[in-house]
Amino acid sequence: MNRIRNFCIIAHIDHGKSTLADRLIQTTHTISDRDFQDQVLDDMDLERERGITIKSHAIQMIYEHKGESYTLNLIDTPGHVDFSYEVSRAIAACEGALLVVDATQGIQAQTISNLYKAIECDLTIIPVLNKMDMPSAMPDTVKDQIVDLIGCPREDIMEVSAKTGVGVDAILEAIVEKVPAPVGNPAAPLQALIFDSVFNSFRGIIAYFKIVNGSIATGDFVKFYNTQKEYNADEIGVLGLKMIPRKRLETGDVGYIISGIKAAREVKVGDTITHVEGSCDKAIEGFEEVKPMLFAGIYPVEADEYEELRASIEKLQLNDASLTFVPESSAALGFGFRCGFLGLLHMEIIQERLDREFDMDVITTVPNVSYKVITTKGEEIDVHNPSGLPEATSIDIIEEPYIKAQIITNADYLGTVIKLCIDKRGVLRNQVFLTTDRVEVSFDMPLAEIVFDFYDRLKSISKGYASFDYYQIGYRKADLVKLDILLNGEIVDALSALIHRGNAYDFGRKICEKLKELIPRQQFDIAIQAAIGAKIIARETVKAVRKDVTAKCYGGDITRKRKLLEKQKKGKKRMRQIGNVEVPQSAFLAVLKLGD
Amino acid sequence: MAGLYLHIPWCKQACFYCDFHFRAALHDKDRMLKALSKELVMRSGEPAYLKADTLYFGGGTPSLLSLKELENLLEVIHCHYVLDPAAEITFEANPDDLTPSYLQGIRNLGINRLSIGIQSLDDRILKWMNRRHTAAEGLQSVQRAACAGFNNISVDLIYGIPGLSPEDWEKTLEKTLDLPVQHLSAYHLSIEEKTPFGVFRRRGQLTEAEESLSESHFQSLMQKTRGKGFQPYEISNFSLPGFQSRHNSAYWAQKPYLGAGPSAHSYDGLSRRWNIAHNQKYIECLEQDLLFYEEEILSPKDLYNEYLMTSLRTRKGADTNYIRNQFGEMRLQSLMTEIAPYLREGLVMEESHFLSISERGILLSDRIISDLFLTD
Repeated sequence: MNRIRNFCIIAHIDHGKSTLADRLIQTTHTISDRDFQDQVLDDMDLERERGITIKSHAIQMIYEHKGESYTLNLIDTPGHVDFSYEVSRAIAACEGALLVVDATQGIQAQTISNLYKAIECDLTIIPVLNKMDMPSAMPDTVKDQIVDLIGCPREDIMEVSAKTGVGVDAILEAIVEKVPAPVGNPAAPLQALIFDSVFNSFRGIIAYFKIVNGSIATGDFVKFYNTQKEYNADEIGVLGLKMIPRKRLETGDVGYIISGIKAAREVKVGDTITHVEGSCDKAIEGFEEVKPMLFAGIYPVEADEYEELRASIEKLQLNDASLTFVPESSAALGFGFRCGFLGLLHMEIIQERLDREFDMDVITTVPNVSYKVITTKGEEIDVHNPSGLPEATSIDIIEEPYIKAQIITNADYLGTVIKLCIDKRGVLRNQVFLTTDRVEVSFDMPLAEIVFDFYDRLKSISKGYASFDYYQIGYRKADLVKLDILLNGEIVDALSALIHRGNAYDFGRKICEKLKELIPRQQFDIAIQAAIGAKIIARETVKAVRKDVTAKCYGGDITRKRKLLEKQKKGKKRMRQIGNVEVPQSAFLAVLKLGD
Repeated sequence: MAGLYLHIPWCKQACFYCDFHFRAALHDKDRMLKALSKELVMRSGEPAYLKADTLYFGGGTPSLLSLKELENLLEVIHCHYVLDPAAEITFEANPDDLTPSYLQGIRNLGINRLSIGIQSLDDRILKWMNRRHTAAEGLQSVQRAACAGFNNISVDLIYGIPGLSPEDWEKTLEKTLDLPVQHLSAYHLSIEEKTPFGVFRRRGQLTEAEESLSESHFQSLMQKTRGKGFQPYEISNFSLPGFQSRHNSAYWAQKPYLGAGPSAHSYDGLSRRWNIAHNQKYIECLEQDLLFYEEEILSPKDLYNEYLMTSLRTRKGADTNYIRNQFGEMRLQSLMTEIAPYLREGLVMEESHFLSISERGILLSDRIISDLFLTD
């Protein structure tokens, strides 16, 4: 146990986390230089073939230092705010963290929030300045930021280039010397923290854990504390580049367990593994049920693919426990599912996977957050869909989820960033200058506002020099209206949205304009209208096509003409007929792209 | 009965809109004609084309052939194919090639139908399209052809040209229909990728005509032809009664046709094939007794799509009895459901057992037809 070091890497996207991880793996000869390329490629193939994510959720490296052999476990963390809970569990499994900061860019918002999580868990922080090989590196400025942030001695900040490999050895030494060995009682009842899980189509769910107390052996009868389910530990082992089975794992070890679990929802990140007999008396702290934040309808483009879509979503759920779904129906789109996601990225991933892994052509409707409605009778209802909103007369109060948004930007863009947040109904709570030209602002904002084109606009107004992170802070009262979209006079329920009353007119006008761009011209005029109740608040018209004909039939070349028309038909296939109007898939997500 | 097509792959200069296969270089003319003859001989055993009732010289520019060269080609055909005595024999010509003696010569060789590319009666537009003749030459050539005894003359016109005013187009139509012509092919300009116009469009120097202009041109076309007793029988083709192009009609009626020469297409009822579109390679292969072509075996889906595409381009339309017999009752029922919205909107008509695109629907015919296609 004294020669185990468990650590993670905290870094912003593109600050070189993966490159540094690869370099550590290479330097410790976890795989030979010669195999490096091949090995990674093999695994990528496997990933594609079997739909599993292999690449280093955790990897064990052996490092020789002053004649002693140390086991270093690098635990990877997901890099997006949608998965912040998973990040917190991965951090909780470590004793140390490398804080990697790009010397050319400085600290970003997400780095800070993850860093705070690490400090809360008492992790030893090793500050690392990466990309020192770049001519645009500004080590002095960025070191100032780091010293301000964690109060470390300036000379403790390590300078490296993951790209060239300079300074990587020093990092390994620092991990051994500075990061404490795990503490825990090897004689106590088993307590192992699950920090991640993956799905393998041959072996089921594989859970990754760190043993906090006690030990586990192959064949042990174990239970997961929060789900209360019991399993046989069919195989346990450690995570090299591939899984390496072991007979026994001890306190402080990081490993995996395979126990014939088929559905991901049985394995909850943050849960505690213990023995059925001689169970620990309480779970490891910090477990939470992950709840979806964002809801959207997913419908098959071809109505008769409903059952296939159900089967596909069920399969996706096997390895993604945070995805929820219930059947719903729409007058415009027929039968589909209301799905719950952790956030926008998660929603995009699911859409992408349905397309790539299951070849499903789907329409995703306007996403919305989960609202709480308190009726005049005093009942509380969760509303996940605009059409689920009760009659206006029976609504007493609607509440919407709020977040604390933290944004770090260059002082030059502070004005425009604040304006954006205020436009998005944000309330400024705090403003701190990290250095003379970098400032951190925090806002209380409705979650619904960041769903609609917030990231993209933040990026564009700050020319990329703003980073953003958020966490939920509960529900607050909201003044919402239901905005309907009509195509040729018919309400398209799948395009309805719940909107803050003050934004409804502007939003209605913009969405009509956007739909006008996206709905292709047809052989008749198409009226696009936005309405609140019976009141039309915006209108656009897509003019009819008047000419679509190639005069010449290319002599005897029938083939060419046929292929041209077949291509034209294929372009149309991905559209959905609503009334007499053909609507492309992209139109249903138009509201997310109003800023483009 | 089959149709025979001979592709004469040269032009003196390139018209900017044209994407048919041609070379401006006339060298190797003898070798090409030998190769063409050889292809005709080699393929004379193919049963689908043994008996023919139409023969068509297209291009390129067939009027670049000397009378002797034309005579030789006709001799090969008469030797190796059974050409019906009443066969329609069409010859495409450029106005400036049609001297009285040349006209007399081809008539004596048995050509009984002329297709003259006058294209426009506006010298500015002719020049802009890089045509090598004037409007006056266009008019004169038709008169000369009639004088030479031709009584089945077709002319080509192009409309939908940006900058061609509705009035000028009407005048062009009036003047053209006053000529001794029995057939008119009027094509809306399509700007094709691999043509000089395609290049101009990419550079932003040329845009397609406004839809309202196309519409106005099209309406004048329908009106003026009708006024002169011409019947529209295909999207771009109009004729006096009895003067429809039998050769082109065969393309739209699933009849077999043999195409000889580089880039020419053939159809034997089951498959389509097309020769290599490269003069030199075409010649070299035939000199080694080889035919260089690509072939496509038509699936039932292809046959169905092609039937709809070709038949719906004609005024007569698609025969629901034929569809039932060839593709089954189920398919016909589905088609009727698919076509219903167009029937409702009056873009398609149903008369006895034929479905056809109405005059109002013609300018949208690509859209309608592609929508009715089957996909994989």
